Amino acid sequence: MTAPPEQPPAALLHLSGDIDLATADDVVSRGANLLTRSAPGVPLIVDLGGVTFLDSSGLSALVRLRRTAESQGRQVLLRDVPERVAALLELSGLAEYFPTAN
Amino acid sequence: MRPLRWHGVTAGNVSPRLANLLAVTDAGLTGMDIDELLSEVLERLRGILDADTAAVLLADEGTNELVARAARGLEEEVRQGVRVPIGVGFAGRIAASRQPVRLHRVDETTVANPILWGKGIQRMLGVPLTLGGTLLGVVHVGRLAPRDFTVDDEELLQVAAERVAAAIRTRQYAVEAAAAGMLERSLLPVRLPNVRGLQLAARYVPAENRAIGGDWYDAFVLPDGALWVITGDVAGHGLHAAIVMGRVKSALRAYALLGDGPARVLELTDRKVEHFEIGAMVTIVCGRAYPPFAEWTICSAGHLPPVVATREAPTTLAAVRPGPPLGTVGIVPREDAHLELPPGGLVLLYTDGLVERRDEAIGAGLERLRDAVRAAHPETVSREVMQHLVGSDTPLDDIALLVLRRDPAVAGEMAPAEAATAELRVREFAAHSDSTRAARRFALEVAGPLPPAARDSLELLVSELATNAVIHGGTPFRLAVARRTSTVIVEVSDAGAGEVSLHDPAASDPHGRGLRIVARLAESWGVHNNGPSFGKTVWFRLDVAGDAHPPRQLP
Repeated sequence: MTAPPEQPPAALLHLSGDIDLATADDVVSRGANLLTRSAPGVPLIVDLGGVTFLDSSGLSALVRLRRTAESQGRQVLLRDVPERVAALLELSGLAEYFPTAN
Repeated sequence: MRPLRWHGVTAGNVSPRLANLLAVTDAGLTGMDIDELLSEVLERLRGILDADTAAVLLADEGTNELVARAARGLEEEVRQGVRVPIGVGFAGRIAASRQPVRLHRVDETTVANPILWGKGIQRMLGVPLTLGGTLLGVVHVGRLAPRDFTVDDEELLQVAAERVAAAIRTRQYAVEAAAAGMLERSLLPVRLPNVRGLQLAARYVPAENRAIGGDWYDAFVLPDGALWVITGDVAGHGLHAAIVMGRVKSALRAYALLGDGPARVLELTDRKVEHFEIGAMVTIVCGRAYPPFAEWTICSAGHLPPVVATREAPTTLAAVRPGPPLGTVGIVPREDAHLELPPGGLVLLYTDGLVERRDEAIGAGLERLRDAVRAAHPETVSREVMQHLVGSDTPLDDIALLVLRRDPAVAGEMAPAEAATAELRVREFAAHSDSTRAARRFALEVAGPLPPAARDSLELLVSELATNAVIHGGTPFRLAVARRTSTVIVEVSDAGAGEVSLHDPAASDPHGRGLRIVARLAESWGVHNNGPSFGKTVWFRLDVAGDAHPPRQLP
């Protein structure tokens, strides 16, 4: 009998607080780190549940993460998107590029 | 054989006698300084004219005297600093009449300077040093023997004088230009004061061929918070006018510091000019106001009227009745005028070089100026005014220009009645990434209670402008926020270049979304380019009435 294959470690990035000019770079490096450490092919899930504010610097961070992921043939999925962040994604024409995970 | 007539002589037809002399002045144009040149010329003149003494006296514009500058055989003239009033004595008469004089008798009845007749000089010949109608001085030669100077000697000395005058002027220009450059830097305000609630801009353009003249502008804040703005014009040109200007400007600042208003300060300055600046004529207009700079006290001493521009009414010349210029009619009582300046209102002070043209009445220039002035940012107005009134012409006279505008940060975007009641707050933030958060908090605090959607939008839009200021400005930025009943108005000013453009970034492009977000959510927005030294201001107006309305589509 063989043990079931281990679940590949989830690439889950928890974000909280204000995502702006002061924090965006940190978001990108944490995300890139996760991508490196996680199993190839696993999507990067960005949990926005704790985000209190996000502006275009935050959007920029998400876009940069998505690029990095794409270059590895991987996806970025958003989870628990606050309403105002969803509105900003919509407003910026980015909503369709960031599918949500459940 | 008749000797050649030397007037208007050129190097091609000069006698050997003169060629020797002219070689000095021509070569001297590049090498020697003025004293070396004069000594050399005088030495050669002594030889050519068989004279025992030779001297040059230069006119001193300031005192209307001749001052001994170089001498041969009469060195004590220079050493003793001999000064001769123009019009008096031998040299003084030559200077006043600008005619050559030959003396066949030298004594106290014909010569004022005892050094000359005390030395036993028997005959004298002198000619004026003039250039283009301007008297530069006098050159004279003398003989100890009783042998008359001839008409030929006189003509030869005149030719020499023309060359010497040209060489002197060249050197005077060089010295004056160097000194004037230093003076200009010391006399013009290095930077305009930074005053909350007011924007300032200035221009100074000297007349052709000059580094500086008698025109100036000044703006300063006193310890009691009063802001003074001044433009003035000392009649005359060049270094002398500039030096008088420096003294008058300084006196005016000192009297202003006493705490009086413009009329009294001009009375005091007039006393100083009347007493210490003999012969000077100065026109000045000055204004004083305290924050928020809505009420101006203005007094004019013979100066052209300030131009006033507001958003509400056509541009006008300020109703300021000028008193006489300083230094003209003795001490007279002067009157203050009062001017109300609405938010966003602009006042432009200038000197007559801006509007005067040789071929037209001054009224036409004033019309042109009025047409060129609007209630925009002072840097913009300065640029437009210089463009319309000066263009590519070299000005014939100095131009000084000082423009002020009540800060339209917020106020400018509002009707005056609303501006008066709106809460306006301004804060400066460091060019640091943490500042965007601080800016958001400040804006939310000033705006007060808002519907949630409006609150979110305001926070986002302020963050976008603050982010741009931090990234592109690189220097501290200023955030102004005002709350009206149904609107919040925000301005972010930074020192960055004024170019701002709306991008349409691709989904994969990490940058260029900030302003687009502003453009879609704000009711209106815009950019003031404040000029090279003042960076730019980006503003938006956000509707914060209950119903959130859908973001607009952008092209």
